[in-house]
Amino acid sequence: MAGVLRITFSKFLNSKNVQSFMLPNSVNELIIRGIISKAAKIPAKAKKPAPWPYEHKKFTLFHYFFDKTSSRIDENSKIIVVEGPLAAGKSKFASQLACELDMLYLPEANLDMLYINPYGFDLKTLDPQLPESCRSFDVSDWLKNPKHYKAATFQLNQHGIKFSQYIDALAHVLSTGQGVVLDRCVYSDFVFAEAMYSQKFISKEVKNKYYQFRRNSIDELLRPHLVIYLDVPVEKTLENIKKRNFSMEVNSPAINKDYLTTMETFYKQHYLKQISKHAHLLVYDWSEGGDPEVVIEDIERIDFEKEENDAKENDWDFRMEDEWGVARHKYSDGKFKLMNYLNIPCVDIKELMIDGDDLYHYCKVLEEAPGMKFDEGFNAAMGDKGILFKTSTKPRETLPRVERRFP
Amino acid sequence: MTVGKNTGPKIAESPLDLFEGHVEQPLLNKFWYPVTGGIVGFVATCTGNWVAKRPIMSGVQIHALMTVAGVFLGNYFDKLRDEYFAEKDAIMRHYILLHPEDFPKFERRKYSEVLEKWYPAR
Repeated sequence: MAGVLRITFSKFLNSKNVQSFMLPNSVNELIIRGIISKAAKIPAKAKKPAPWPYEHKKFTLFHYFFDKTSSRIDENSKIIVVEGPLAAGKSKFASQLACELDMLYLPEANLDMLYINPYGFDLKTLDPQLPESCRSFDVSDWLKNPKHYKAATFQLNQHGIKFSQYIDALAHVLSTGQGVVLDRCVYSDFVFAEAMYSQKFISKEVKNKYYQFRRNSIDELLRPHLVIYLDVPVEKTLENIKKRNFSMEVNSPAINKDYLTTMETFYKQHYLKQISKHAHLLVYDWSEGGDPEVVIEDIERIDFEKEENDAKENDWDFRMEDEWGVARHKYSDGKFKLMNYLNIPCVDIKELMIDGDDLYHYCKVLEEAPGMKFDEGFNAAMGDKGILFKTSTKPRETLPRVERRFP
Repeated sequence: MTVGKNTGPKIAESPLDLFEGHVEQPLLNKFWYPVTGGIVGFVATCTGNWVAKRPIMSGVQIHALMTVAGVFLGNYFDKLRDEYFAEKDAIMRHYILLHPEDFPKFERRKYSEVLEKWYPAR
């Protein structure tokens, strides 16, 4: 019923006559369907509305009528994903690219985004007080001990955090109109699951569970517009890892030739094949590094104009103003609903289950930790003010944009 | 000596006598509905805060609002209930007035005259 109301009113309010009366600034311009770098950009005649603060403000049914989602969308409102093997220089390249294209750079999703709470307290420091099954296990623990039974939980958590980050990316594009550059994304995460399975770090049951999680959740998202793959051969990757000299990676029993080869195979044979049906694809030989300027020139040459009956960019084929609004609402305010797609019981797999007593103990310890007793903004012990009259919290849980820590 | 006639409550001679007189309500009955409503409103807000992982006494303006709303709601239901019973009594009274033939004079009997004799048998 709300849909009928939305469509009727937004059609009326967005019609040309009403628009010219209400928003005298908005002039329909010829849209160039391609990404433009900051240097080459001509300032638009029509003023775009200010970015919507989606992290603090809900986009409700009322806003549909007065806030036009498509008015913020321009040729740079795209999702770009940078993919590649370990130590290829992805994060540096992605942040440079984001800077040049005036986009938002999201660092690779990592579990530190969950382990550090909103008050800056590191939940990993609670580990000595916790039973073994409830201790944190992130990428550095995995690199030390890849055959640990918690590698299974780790891989599923990685999918969860990447899924969460991709929802944030979509919310950002649709709410602010600014493009996003991601360093790896949820779509390519299965490459790691396959590589881990090939080395017997996770069992077949866990791999199947992983794909169950993936199937259940991934279709809710909109696939990226552009994927850039930085290709580095396996030998060169091993060299890069040595050169980068993170002690965890260099001494890790997990990072070997077989593991990296499987990763490369699944990247090229499966991931790039699947995603290139929808997204535009750029592949570079990045064994000696490269110049982001060259890539930007290539990006500017891509024609993002969608043709009829073309599978490319199908997910982004929104014809009506209402469809833009619905998608924006889904990713900016409905994140908690989407995250529920990951609530799959794992009772059939031993390494994914925690003993009830352990969990009870874990909850007790967690409640005592600084800033974990109450919701964010309600902890008097952490210096939150005005709690007596406070009634609202953030409308959504946005992941912090922090880089992975390497000890 | 007539026991209870002068000291105890008046015994109704006819059905209409049952509707006569006025009984003062006890204090508890007077304030039961609004007080219960107020308490429910307050406790519900506290529970809501607890479920949402907030301190129980955060956003006290909501507590005040919900308590006042609870009192008014309780009062409203109290009035509604009174009106319902008043209407019911009036209908019955009216019926008795219109149909005296349904309520003939009756002889007062003791229970010992009504009940049959009981022979204990084991």
